[in-house]
Amino acid sequence: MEPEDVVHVLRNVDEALKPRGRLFDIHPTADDPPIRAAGRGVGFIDARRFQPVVATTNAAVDALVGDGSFEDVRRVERDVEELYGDAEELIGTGDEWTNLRLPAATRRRIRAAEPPFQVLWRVDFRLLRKAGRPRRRP
Amino acid sequence: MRRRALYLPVRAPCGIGIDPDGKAIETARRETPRGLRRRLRFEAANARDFELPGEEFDLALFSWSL
Repeated sequence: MEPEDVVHVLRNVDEALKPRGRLFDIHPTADDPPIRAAGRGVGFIDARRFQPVVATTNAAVDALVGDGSFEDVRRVERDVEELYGDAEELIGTGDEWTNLRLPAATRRRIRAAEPPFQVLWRVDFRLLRKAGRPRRRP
Repeated sequence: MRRRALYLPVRAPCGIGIDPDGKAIETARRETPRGLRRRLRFEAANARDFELPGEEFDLALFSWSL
């Protein structure tokens, strides 16, 4: 998703939710996810280009909270492990990413290592509640 | 991260899943248990432009990909 799309999507979601409806925002953080094979590190995914996307999206959600459209209910970060059965599955998936990159040295180490591969993502889970209907004045 | 469905308990009377990737939508339709197919709808679309009915939903999952 491109940063400029985020505001439009959130506006769409806001309009579709009932008053007091909940919005569950789930996305990886902008930390470089480590890759491991047989318990040893083989490198990191380069997440530099993902940072502005995360920052824009978080700012857009913060703006909804700031203007009273939503309130934060709960927010937690958790590590989520993703398994890949072989090197080409991981590298092929990496080729489809828009804002992440597998550096050349990491690709070489992946191809030289024994599968399976573990990618450890840091994921941000944020639950929000839409505001109720504004009270009508008598 | 790979695009993946969230395996959440489905207790809602109905739901809509939107993803711009048509293959992901086909997978979702194929893997949806028969008992849920009447209640769940999947559409290949961009959430930015997709028209949803106003004030209709209790919960929105905003799970965006890379």
